[in-house]
Amino acid sequence: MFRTLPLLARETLWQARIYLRDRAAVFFTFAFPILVLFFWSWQGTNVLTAAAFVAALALAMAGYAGLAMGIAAAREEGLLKRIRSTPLPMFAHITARALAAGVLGALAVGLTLGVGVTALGLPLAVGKAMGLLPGLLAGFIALGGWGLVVGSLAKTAAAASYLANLTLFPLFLLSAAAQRGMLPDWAAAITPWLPLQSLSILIQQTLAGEGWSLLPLLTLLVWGGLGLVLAAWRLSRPL
Amino acid sequence: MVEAASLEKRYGSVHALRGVSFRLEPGERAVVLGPNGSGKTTTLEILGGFLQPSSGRAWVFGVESTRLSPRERRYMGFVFQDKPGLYPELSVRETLELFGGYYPSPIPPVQLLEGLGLAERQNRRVRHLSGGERRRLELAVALVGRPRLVFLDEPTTGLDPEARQRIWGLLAGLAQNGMTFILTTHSLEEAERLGQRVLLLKDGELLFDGPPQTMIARSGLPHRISFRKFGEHLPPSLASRAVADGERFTLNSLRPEEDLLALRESGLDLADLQVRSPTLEEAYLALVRGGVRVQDATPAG
Ligand SMILES: Nc1ncnc2c1ncn2[C@@H]1O[C@H](COP(=O)(O)OP(=O)(O)OP(=O)(O)O)[C@@H](O)[C@H]1O
Ligand SMILES: [Mg+2]
Repeated sequence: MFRTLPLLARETLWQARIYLRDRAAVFFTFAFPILVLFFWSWQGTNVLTAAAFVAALALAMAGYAGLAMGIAAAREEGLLKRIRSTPLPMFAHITARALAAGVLGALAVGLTLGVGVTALGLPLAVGKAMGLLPGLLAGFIALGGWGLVVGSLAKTAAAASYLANLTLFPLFLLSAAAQRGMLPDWAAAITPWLPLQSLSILIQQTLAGEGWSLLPLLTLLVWGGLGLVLAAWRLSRPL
Repeated sequence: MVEAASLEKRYGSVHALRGVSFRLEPGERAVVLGPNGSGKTTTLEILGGFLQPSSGRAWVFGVESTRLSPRERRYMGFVFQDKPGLYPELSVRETLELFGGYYPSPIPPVQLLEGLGLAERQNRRVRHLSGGERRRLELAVALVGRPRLVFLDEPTTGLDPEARQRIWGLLAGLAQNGMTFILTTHSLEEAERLGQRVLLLKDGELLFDGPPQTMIARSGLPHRISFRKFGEHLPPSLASRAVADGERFTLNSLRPEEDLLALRESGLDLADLQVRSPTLEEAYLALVRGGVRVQDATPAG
């Protein structure tokens, strides 16, 4: 354990560095959410609602889609086999990928909110920002857990990209529609139980200074637990 | 150090390995030869623990290959045949820093790169390397942890002649310091240069296992003795087997020592005497094609 921790820290730094060299990943993690934020606020969406949702999206881009595609691409390029040939334990490598994605996702959230504050007049006090942490952590566990699941299921980067988009896009649309109250009843009933929506509710509550509520947090943790169990089962088999 | 016991591998209906067994002792340099699809890569992948055998078992450092742990992997290095498994966005040097960091006492990247003739490329991204440069980097990654045992699956494919020489020198040097390796190649020259022991696979079976010289002997191919002769006749024991081309005679011989002695005792006036032994390549072709016919008796005109 004591030997694994420095190994894990080092691997996480390398994985973050490698992630940042991928231009497409950087665009979708950092620039894309900000574009969406501007688009919505021009359309007249309440800046608080828009910023909360887009922050959740930013975390999903890194922690879910980026992680899934990174693992699938690594498998496709023979990198996972290469890692298996070294003394680095596979779980350390995968954990490092997830941690790097989480840290970069959190940065993207910060960037999105920062742009919201400076350019769109989003009210956010520095003191309140720390209150975001539990929600972000739970969101990261849920999204990252499922990112690992998709990464372990997809054989190629292209397949992972389809899977990630295919799942993220409906979540995105449902949440977007929910915020405008445009959902049919059945959809309105399930949407709060979806991870993206739970996370954006948590962020919104914190930004609005309402203090976060337990239900969305628990929802995220349940999603995270399920994802992690599935991922652990998939990833413990020979890759 | 490495042991394979009755390894079998089936991929669906393809029977890729049909009972392959051998042992490598520490310090041995083994070259696996065989036609495309004969099972070389499959054998190495099973030994390295990347593939499950359908039956039979394999051990490395006394540990079953399917259970190799970081403890054993600290002393192992790999060059894979197909996908390099490197990060395209890292530079050459970063790649070695990253992978070297997994081992207790890695070779400093610059030293390794110089040995492989890659020092001038150290800041180039892996994505931008030429095929042969990338191959050399893969070899560097295999060696960076100072392994005691390396598995090299066609490590010199696609390398220019100078790079190949360099790598042969490097591997021979490492082997002298006790490194064991098992290498596959289609270059018989490489096998002759590096191999102390040849494992010849065909259709998933081990056709031959032993030193290259023994493989040549086993092939049953004759040595060729040729000379020019003036006047006089050949002794009858040789005359029936010698082929004449003007003044030049060629003799296929399975026992060159005896035939040379007979020539000398004949007291003939010989010039330009040459003895050419069969090469490993000829022996390889003979064994792989099977049914070697020794043409030892083509009567002279
Ligand atoms: N994943 C696979 N599925 C089906 N057949 C396979 C698979 N991998 C290898 N084979 C078959 O198994 C046999 C042995 O393959 P292997 O890669 O071990 O050959 P090799 O000796 O390394 O050949 P080469 O000299 O071309 O590298 C071949 O007939 C090949 O087609
Ligand atoms: Mg092969």
